[in-house]
Amino acid sequence: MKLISVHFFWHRILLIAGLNMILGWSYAQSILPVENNKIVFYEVNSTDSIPKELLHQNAYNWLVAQKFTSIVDSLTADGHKLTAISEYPVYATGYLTKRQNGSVSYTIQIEVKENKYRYRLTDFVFHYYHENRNYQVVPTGKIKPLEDAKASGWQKTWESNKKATYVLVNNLVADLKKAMLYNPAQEKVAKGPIKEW
Amino acid sequence: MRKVVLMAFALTTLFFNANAQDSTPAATEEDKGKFTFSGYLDSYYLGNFNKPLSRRNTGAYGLNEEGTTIPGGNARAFDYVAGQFSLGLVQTKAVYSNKKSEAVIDLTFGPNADMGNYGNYVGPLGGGSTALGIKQAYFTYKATDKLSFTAGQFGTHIGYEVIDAPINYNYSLSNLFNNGPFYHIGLKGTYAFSDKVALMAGIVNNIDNLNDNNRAKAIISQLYVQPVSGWNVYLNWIGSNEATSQTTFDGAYYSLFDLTTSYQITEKFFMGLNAAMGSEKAGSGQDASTWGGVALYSNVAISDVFGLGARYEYFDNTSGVRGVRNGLGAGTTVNSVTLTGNFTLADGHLLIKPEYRLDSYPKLSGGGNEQHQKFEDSDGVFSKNTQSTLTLAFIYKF
Repeated sequence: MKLISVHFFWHRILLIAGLNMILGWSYAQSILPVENNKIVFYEVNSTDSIPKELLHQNAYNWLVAQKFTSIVDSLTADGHKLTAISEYPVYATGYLTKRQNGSVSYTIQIEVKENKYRYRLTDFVFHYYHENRNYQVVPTGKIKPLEDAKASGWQKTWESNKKATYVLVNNLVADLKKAMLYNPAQEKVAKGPIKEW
Repeated sequence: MRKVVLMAFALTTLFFNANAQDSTPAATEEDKGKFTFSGYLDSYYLGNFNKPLSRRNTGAYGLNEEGTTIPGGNARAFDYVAGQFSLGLVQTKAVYSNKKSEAVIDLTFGPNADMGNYGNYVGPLGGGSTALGIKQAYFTYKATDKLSFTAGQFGTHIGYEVIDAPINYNYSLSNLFNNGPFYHIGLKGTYAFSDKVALMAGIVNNIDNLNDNNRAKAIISQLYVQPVSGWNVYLNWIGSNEATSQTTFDGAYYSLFDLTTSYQITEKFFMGLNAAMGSEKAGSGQDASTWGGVALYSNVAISDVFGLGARYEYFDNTSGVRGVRNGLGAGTTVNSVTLTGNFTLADGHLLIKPEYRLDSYPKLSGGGNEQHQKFEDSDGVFSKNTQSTLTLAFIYKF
């Protein structure tokens, strides 16, 4: 009787561990939106009474403020298109403190037309970092697409890097949405009472 | 009593004012500062195909008074002992950095720490003093975005390899590493012209020593250039008077030029090169003796878990000024080939490195010199001019 219950106990442990692994892996995979096997954060947003010129200016100012590089500004049939690139550090969790294990580069595209805009963040690429002989953490030159599901030997850190990407991009997009709604004309109205008379 | 209360009130007000200023929204993460605690430990098993009676991989030191070749050479830097599990080094490293400064306390313990810090045993408390545990202890003041100053004890800028096993691809260390400086104590400044060009210059006591040999100070310099992304070039130099009882700069002058470069050629394939040329005078009025060497490194990442690396090295100490000597105690040359596998496991924390190394010294012949080769056989006779070893190294970093 005792043997049977011990056997059953270990079966349950193994089953739970297996389910945990599968769920953990699929969670990391599923949180990043994928389109044609590429990670893409895409959304169309409409704005009330914000002309395309102001949306274009807001998008450009926001890219500069967020320190995006290689900003390319081009005209489209009915508005503007801005593309730029950026990079953010990602970390491996140590036992007491975290250490940078790489960075992720990506491109952003913001298109504006009258009273609406859309953004697209894609081309997420992980850049391996290591500690060099001067004890500085620097890029090795090796890269890995963030779409890769497996990172043998460092799966846990790989998944944590993907989760960090999800959090960072969502914060970034929230900030972009706020910046795109900036309208000096409405700001003046909203200021309320002033001291001068 | 009233004065004490007033003083306490003033200090408290001052403290809270200072804290309030620190917590303004303008203070970024970088301004607030960051603390990092890291380190590693390593151990290994080494087998020597010569089966030396002394179980030492270090080869011959030279001749004793009876004309017999004796062990105690420096054919290996750290991995001295064969036929046993050995502990390498334990490191604990604390780094605090903020926008304007950085402090590094890098403490090491164990056999390799002692050897890497060998000049420190002349510390204030003599052999075994607490100074022996300090591999690095320095702080950097970032005067501007481009200019920084560092003071304290820091690892040398010379060479390709370092004491830290997780940073080197090969586990055993090169002769260039073993015959170059390990650390310096002093002051240095670095100016970064851009991300691709930087110049460092400094004044240090000397080479590998807690205390200076004399009043003359050593000059160090480094030019860093990145011609293309992924290709790093370091041109290094140190000039130092290593005399022990002289105060003039014309004493035992030591000069070492070093080129260290590495290039990640493709995503998977990496190459590196280290070349050095040194000279040292034994004293005033004497000619300088020279030594030098070149090491070529390459590695290929077969997968995220496994990579394979090779190192070929030629080291020339024919002048006998450094420690690489033959069984007669005379300066010599050595060719070394090292093949290292690199398994990365446990989310990058664990490195397992199987490694084969061959060292080949010129074969001595004639005049009974067959018994005065570099390496010892299983009978304790120095009859081998080559040595092959197989190592399995375990490194854990955190």
